Amino acid sequence: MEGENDIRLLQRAAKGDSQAFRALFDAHHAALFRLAYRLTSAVDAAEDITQECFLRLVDNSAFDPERASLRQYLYGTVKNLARQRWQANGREVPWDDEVQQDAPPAAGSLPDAMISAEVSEVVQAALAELPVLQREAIVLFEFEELSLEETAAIVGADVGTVKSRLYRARERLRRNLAAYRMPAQEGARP
Amino acid sequence: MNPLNDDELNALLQQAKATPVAPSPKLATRTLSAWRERAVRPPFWRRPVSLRWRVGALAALLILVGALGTQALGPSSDVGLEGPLMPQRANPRATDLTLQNLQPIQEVRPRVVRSMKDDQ
Repeated sequence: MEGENDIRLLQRAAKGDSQAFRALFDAHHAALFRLAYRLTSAVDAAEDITQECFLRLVDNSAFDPERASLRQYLYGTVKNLARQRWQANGREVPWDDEVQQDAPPAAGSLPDAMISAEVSEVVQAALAELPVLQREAIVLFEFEELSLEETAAIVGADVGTVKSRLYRARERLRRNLAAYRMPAQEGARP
Repeated sequence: MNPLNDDELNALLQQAKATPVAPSPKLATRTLSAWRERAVRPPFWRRPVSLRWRVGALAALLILVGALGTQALGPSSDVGLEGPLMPQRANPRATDLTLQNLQPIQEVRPRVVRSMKDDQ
């Protein structure tokens, strides 16, 4: 139902209907921005990516509703734009973890005094330390709560590879966030 | 320092998820205006004309003017500027001559031609 609505809105937006475009934007922009921010760790970059994502969607959309939902397609576009940004910036970013060394855990932190915003910043910093492929996998699976199959489709890998990336990402986060130990909560995603 | 266990890591991730960073309120306006610039095309008389089209239109105009000018100065303008009429002369071609045309002279009439100096 939601997918059909998205398709109708997309068709209307492609014909210049600004209300349809606005409806699409309102429905998806928060999730796209969140993903872009988790991948880039920069608000400006995340906003640019979110905007470009919507413009590309209407301009030259290769979206195929038979293959994936619009949300998944947009997630894939965000991932590609984030990768292009890393490559265009010429930054030396590790793509996988063969040679990556862990950053030493921060010492002297005060976990008890941390508020949610600080926890979010700390976790975001730890995510930024991850190799790109692991970061994509854990952000899509843990933060956007996609299934393994959906995550695999978006990152262009098979499910086994995604599981492996998730395992290595969690191992690294366990070590890098050890200084920020908090009481365990029930109902967390295994 | 011991690494976190699964529950501790999940607790941190859950708390980070609960406080997502929000985009600025201007993002919607910015994106919508950028989309309008791209998607909503102005009427053709308000669209900017590219240099290629300008050069093409100028070339077509020059060719049209040149063609019209050539037509105006062409053969039709020579009426009234005819040269002197030359007398038509029977000028048999060599292939039209036969032996009958080449008869011997039958009578010779001598004529005395005097110079004007002789009278003076």
